[in-house]
Amino acid sequence: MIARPDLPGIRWGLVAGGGVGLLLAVLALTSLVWVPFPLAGPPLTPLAEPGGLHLLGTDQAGRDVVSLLMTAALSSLAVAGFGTLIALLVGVPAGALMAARFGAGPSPGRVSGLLLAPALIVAMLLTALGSAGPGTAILSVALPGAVAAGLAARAPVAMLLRRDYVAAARIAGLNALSAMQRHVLPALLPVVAALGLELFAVAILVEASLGFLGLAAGMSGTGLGVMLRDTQGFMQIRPLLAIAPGVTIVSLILALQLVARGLRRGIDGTA
Amino acid sequence: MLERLAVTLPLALLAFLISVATGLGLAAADAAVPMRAPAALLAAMPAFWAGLLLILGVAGGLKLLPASGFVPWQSNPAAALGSLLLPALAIGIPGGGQFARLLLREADAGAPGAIQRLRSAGMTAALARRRLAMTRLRSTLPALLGQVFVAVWIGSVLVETLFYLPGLGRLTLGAALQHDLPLFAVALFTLLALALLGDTLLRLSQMLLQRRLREAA
Repeated sequence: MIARPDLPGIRWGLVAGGGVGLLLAVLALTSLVWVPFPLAGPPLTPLAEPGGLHLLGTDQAGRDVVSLLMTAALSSLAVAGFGTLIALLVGVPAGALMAARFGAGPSPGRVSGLLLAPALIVAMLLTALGSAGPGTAILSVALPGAVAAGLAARAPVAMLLRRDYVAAARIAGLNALSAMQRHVLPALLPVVAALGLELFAVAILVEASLGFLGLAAGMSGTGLGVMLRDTQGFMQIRPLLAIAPGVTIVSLILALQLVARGLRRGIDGTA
Repeated sequence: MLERLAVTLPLALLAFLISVATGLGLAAADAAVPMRAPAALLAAMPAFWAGLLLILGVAGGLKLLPASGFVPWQSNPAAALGSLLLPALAIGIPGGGQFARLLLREADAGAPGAIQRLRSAGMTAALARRRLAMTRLRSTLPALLGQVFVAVWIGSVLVETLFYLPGLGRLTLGAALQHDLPLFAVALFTLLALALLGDTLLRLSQMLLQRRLREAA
């Protein structure tokens, strides 16, 4: 609910969030084909000063921090992205079903960072029963995420189902599933996109936390949280080793949230 | 288990108080001057990274508080509290950001038309927003507080690992990593039971609030 309607114009939040997010994503993807100093090569001087050849210095194992950061970001983004996709694919249809059967529900749920608590519990449970790997992290994002996505999708679907044109389509003989596919899904897509971005932001927080706790080594054995755990003992000498991965995590999360907020504004005028 | 709880319970309560104070402060600041960036920034910080920064700044740079470890309550209560302060801040500051975002979201989610109705009665937009937000929060605040408590309580796993505190969270994590299923079951059960207990107690404060309201009416 806004007291003053938005003036038309460029949405700077959307531009800034999208720009930073795209830049980081491109840098992370570049690590697949090129990094400044390959991590598999011979180790460099450990804990080199930042600046010069190594923009952010080298870490305790003699790896270039920029190269490591690019690889770790890709690993974190991949785990968080897979988890988010599973959560959306399971949660949104479940939420739509709930809306069709039982209506809008008590209150419109929204995804927030509080999702970290159930994700931690799931991760510890999976680790205790099996082993810590990329699968554990993906499932820990996907299981609580699916519940949150279902709750968050329920209210908008219920609202769209009450529209007159949906009722008209049903009277004209379309069954519930076809009506949902033809008349509800197109209007729902922007909402799902915003929901997915919000979930993605939380998933990055979850992945980093699990990596830090040693519950999830990412795809390539590294990740932004894993980096922070490894450099913990050396940060008094080289503070940048602890600051750089954290800044990357926070900027990824903020960029995704800014884009999601811009999308929501575009959909219904609320932030 | 009891000596573990003697670390985690005070830590979580302290962090909860810091979260609530930070969240209310940010929400009040937003009511005066609309700004969403500080809450979003704090909420985006992972608790363990906030802890790392606090260790770098307060423990490393200023040498004010211990960076890790725990002094038992019996030997020196003041030092024990001191060793819990940084971890509590590490959970409490991002937790406060999360709480502020929840509060602001509540403030934004009014019934459509309600603001226009109040404005047409001659109220300024800011006052109308605040009045509506207060009305909504009266019924939703206990549930929000419960959610924040659960987040802070489970978040103790993260900072106890970072600060080497011998608490319940680190016990649970250690048992999980070593596949020690009997110990893990007990630790996880205690962790979840206390999370549920805290959440329920905070939600029950709703009844207290409602009785007050009914008597006032």
